Amino acid sequence: MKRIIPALIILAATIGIFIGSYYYVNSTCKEATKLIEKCITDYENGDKDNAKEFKDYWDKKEKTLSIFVNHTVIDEIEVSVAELSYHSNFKDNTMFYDSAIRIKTLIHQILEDTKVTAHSIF
Amino acid sequence: MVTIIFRTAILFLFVTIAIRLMGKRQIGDLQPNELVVTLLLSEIAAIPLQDSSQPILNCVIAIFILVIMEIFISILSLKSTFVRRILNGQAVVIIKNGVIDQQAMKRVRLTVMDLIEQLRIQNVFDVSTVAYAVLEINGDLSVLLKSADQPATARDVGAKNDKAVLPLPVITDGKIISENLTALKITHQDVEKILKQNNLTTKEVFLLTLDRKKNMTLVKMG
Repeated sequence: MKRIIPALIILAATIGIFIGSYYYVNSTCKEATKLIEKCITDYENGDKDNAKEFKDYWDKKEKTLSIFVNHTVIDEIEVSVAELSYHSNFKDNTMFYDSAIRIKTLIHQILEDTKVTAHSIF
Repeated sequence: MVTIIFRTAILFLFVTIAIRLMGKRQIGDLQPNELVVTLLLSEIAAIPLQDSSQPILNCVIAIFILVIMEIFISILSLKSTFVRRILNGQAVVIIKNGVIDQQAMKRVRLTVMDLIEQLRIQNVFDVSTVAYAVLEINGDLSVLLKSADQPATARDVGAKNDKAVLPLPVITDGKIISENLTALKITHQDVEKILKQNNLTTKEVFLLTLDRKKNMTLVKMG
């Protein structure tokens, strides 16, 4: 019976971590999606620093995000962000859109993985 | 490399805490649900060690969820006979008054050779001497011999026997264990006196055990 108190404490901590991580990952990914869309719009409007805002945001968030999300996905986004800035500078349309869409897809994948659905459980 | 060292240390710590929370049991004494948790724990803990791209938090949460479930199931088993029977099964009487219950053996899928082997382990070589043999939940066979075949006890032969006393280690590896002195109601001076009688110092003693009746076992340091 003495084990029930540590069990309840751990259960509460686990639920807390789950809820906290769920909201953190969700809000971060939603903000990142908004910023990558803004980055594309700015690129189309000829803004040279279009990728900077997204890059700064990602650099700030990726460390905390890697506590909850598979590191491979984080690394792939990191590489794509670097490519995005490079292709933006050299006005390589095809490669720029390719990198931007890859980032959007990976962020969407993180969001999907976080959701609790029958699909994700089974 | 350094990451792996940290990850291993963290997981070792969490798995140790998890096993500690589950309580002490030998592998052979584990109930089915405890065995499942133990098997899953080792598998889950190995994943982030092999694949450093996996967040360690997912593994830690999985470990703790397993332990929490195990604790709640064991509490439920404690409270409810029904749950206990469903999850852990029931002990089965295999031999009654020297007669083997073949139906029970079929139910638990126990062969005659297995039964005879288990009886031999219990020093029973003749089935007809068994009053009851019960196959326990963990697979052990408990055997009760018929009264006529049970070894005589001190009470049976009317022998006078003293109360059993527990010898406690007082010195191990040249160090006095103070809490055992308190339990034996003796002081450091008493121990020094014993050592003086044997021309020894504390550091020269490998093991000294004493009981309440002052019976002593002394092993010198090699």
